[in-house]
Amino acid sequence: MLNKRLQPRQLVMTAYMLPSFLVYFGMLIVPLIMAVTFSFYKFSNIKNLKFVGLDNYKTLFADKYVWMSLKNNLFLIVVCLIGQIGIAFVLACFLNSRYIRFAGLHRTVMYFPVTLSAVVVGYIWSMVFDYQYGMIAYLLRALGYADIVKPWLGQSDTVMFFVCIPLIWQYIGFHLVIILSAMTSIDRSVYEMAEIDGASGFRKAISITLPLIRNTLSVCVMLCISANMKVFDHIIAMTNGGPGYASSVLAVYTYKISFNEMNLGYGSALSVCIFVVTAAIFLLSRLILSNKKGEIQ
Amino acid sequence: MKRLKKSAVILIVLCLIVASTACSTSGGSVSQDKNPPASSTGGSAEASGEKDWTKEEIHLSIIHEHTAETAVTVASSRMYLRVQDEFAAAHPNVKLDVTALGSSEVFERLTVLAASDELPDVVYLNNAVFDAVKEDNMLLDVTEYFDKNFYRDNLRTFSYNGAVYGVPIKYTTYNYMYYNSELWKEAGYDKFPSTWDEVLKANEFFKSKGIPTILFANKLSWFALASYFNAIMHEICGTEWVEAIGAKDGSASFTDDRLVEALEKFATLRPLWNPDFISADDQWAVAELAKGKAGAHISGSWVAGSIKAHDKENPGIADIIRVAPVPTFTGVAPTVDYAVPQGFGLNVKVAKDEMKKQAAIAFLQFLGTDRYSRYMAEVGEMGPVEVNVDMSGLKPMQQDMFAVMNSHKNVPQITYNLHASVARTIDASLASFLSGSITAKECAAEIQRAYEAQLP
Amino acid sequence: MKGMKKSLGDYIKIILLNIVPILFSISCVIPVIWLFLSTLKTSAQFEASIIALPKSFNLENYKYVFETTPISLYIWNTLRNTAIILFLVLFFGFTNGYFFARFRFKLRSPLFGFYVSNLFIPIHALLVPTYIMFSFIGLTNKWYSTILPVASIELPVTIFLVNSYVSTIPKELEEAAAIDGSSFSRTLFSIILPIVTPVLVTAGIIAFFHCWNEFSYSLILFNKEKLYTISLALTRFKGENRIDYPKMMTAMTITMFPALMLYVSFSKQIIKGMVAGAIKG
Repeated sequence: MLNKRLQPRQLVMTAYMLPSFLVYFGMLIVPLIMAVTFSFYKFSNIKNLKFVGLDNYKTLFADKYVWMSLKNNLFLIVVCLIGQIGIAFVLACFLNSRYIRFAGLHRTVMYFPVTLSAVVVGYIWSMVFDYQYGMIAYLLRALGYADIVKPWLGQSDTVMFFVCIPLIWQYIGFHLVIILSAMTSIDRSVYEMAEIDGASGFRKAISITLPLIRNTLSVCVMLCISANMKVFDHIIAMTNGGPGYASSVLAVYTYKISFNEMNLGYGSALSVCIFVVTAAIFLLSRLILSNKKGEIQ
Repeated sequence: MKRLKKSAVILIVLCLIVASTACSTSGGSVSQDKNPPASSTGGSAEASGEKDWTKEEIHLSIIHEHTAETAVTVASSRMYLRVQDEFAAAHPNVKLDVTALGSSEVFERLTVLAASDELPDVVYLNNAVFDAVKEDNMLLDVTEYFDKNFYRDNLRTFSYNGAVYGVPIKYTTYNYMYYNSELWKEAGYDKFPSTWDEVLKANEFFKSKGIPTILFANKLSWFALASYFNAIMHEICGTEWVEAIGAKDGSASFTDDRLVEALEKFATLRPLWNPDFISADDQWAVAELAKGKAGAHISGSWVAGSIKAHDKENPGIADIIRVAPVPTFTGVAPTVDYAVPQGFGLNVKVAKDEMKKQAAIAFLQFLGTDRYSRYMAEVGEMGPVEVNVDMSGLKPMQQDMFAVMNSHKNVPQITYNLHASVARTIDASLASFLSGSITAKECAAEIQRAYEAQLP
Repeated sequence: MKGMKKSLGDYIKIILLNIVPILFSISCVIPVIWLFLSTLKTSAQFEASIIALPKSFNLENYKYVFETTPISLYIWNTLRNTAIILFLVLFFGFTNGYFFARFRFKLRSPLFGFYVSNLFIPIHALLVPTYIMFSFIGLTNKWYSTILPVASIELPVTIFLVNSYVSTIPKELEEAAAIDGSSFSRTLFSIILPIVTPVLVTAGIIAFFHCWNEFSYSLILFNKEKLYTISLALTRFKGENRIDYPKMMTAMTITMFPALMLYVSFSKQIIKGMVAGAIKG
């Protein structure tokens, strides 16, 4: 924090921060409040709103597909935290090293997947996993392991494992770019001093880089949790939530309820559920990651 | 600071330029009435009388899924657009304000429009949309303008409480056995077998060739019901049982023994299918069949057109593929299941302006003539109205298809008068059951739970 | 240090250090290449074999897309909206992020939590309420309809990124500027802004692609075809039972191309910014 006397007048601060606050309030908070209100009604159009109190929520708790979807969301969060951020951190350390060639090119290229739309990514990977013509099936058969080849995306027990691969692959670049830009603020001399002391690459990464980019990493964690609670397009593109509900996630289930069945009251209740669960997970992760520094915000 | 200021100024200027050009051309929201006031001479002429609406300029807004691109490959879109264009040509005073979107996007937008009571003038309907708006006086009652008997489904699909609100624009039949006659002849069958036992016996032959006996493409999970299970239910549980389910009077339940038996019998067909049937899609399956890489595929009336399109890459295939009725377990004749997946209705708000109402009704009636069905018949597919089909121009498989449809009992899919949530559960539970993660009893229980939740 | 002899083990480490990124980078490029190659096939060729190389350099899909769909109009709509949104997001992201990082003020925590709440809200929850609200105000179906909602969604991420980055910048900078008699706004824009450029470029790239590919709000708020953005153009090719994949992929490639070009040309800026940042320390 800066010294109080460097803080501009109240009016100046308000002038800078009020416009975005107002717009954000109108575009996100107001519709959210409307959605919460809708969750207490049964309706498909505003001409006929039937107040049902907590009925939608009672249905929600009893609906086993909600729990299945939530389980899948949590699975994706855990896997992607490790896969996306973990791998991105390692790659960032590699790219930040003195001995890397074409770091700029790598950085540019690794972001390409992030620019692809989820539909494209979903389609490409469902092609890779295809039972008949997929690349993996082809390789395994060529190597003589034909019996391992199964329709992975069509089996309830394997579908989630295979669905998370494209998610990890696509967003490594996203976290990589964020982590790298944070790493640029670390002075090279710190590394040089550590090297003189004989620190290995691994040691440098864990003891120097990691603590210094802690704030950025917590941003990445936040974004990863949020994105995986809201994940939608990839699942729809690859499996449509199937087989049955084996790969369904909350956003997919909400969409089907809201837009395929036009049960907007229950759909709003599901959205509130997503909101509450995401906030809970988020607070939990804060508690786990909070440290003595106290500047985390 | 200077750099930022400069870029900000440039951007603001750009915005102003754009705004000034775009503002004048941006339209209002979809449901705004753009009609000129009704002419004083026209008054409220009867629909069958003066027809003054032909002199006024009238705008009708429509949203549907028939884009120019889908029209290239999908006959139903192509023929619908042909009918729509004919209306526009016959009535140049009526400006059709058409928005065409992809098939899932169109219903996403219709949901939002229905929710905010801003439906377009001509409303594209499917079962879910219709269920959502039928009770709330959002669609115009058009009973008096249509003759129920003219249509295959007697206009039941979009009727509610005795009144008709919509006219079908598609009539699709879903369970035909498209088979490679040469391969089956090799297997020892001149005609496709009529019982599943015989098909299972032929499985050995196809396995030795390394190809699936029957392809199953359940990516869009309603295929399981449409291609297989609806007919199986009618056979094992009986048509009366299916109708009792539809009557929702509690006399039939999904947990009845015969439904569980039907499920278990369904699962016995698994050895015939490709192992990735859960994620395979119909388009791919038809391509495989066309390449000679499968014995057969159960699918609907749109397939023939696709196979003809594959004839260029696989010459002769359009004559080798034939159609047979699906086999049954007991050897009785199977039922052919149909559905009216989409139709059109009118926004009740068009009644506010008499001229617009008459134009809209005329449009709906135009869609409801036999034109569409005739055009579909020309390419060997079917429409909502029964028409004479000139078989001579059709491929053998298409002639087979009409023969099967006309000689077997046509029944609606069980979901046609069930709530959308029950349909969804049936599809999902069937997929879970077929992939082996739940038992037949559990599958039946799941469906029954969803069914009971929707009982009045 | 520079003169230190490198052992064989060191060389092996260096090779591994380079190979891993190379492998991953290749995996990132192959799908883009495959996508482009698929656009050179006809629908029948594509269905015949998905992985095979196209038979010829056949641009008829591109011709088709350019001739039958107003794709350049869509690209212009997308470009214009994205530019405006980007400006709003970067400007307010920068100022808000800076304030959160540097100052303690009364409503700081609630306001920050307020922006964080964006991460918890699934977009489909907002579509119907937003449409109802907009239609009440009369904001539907205008070329600028999606600007405010999309900007609101992209804003928090930029705020967080700027916030974390600024908190690592030494306070001495502002204190030195104050001693020199610089006003607040001047310090903010002429001293802090250049230093923060790397993270702004990062945030800008993230926001850019989100806006470019934005779909849900565009679908709901644009009823007239001439307002459409690129993502909506792709829906034209999806029929109920059939998808014309090569044409759809052609549209995808065309929509990706300007975005990728902008991104690739900006990369040079990024590298410059990163190096400059490292030197400044």
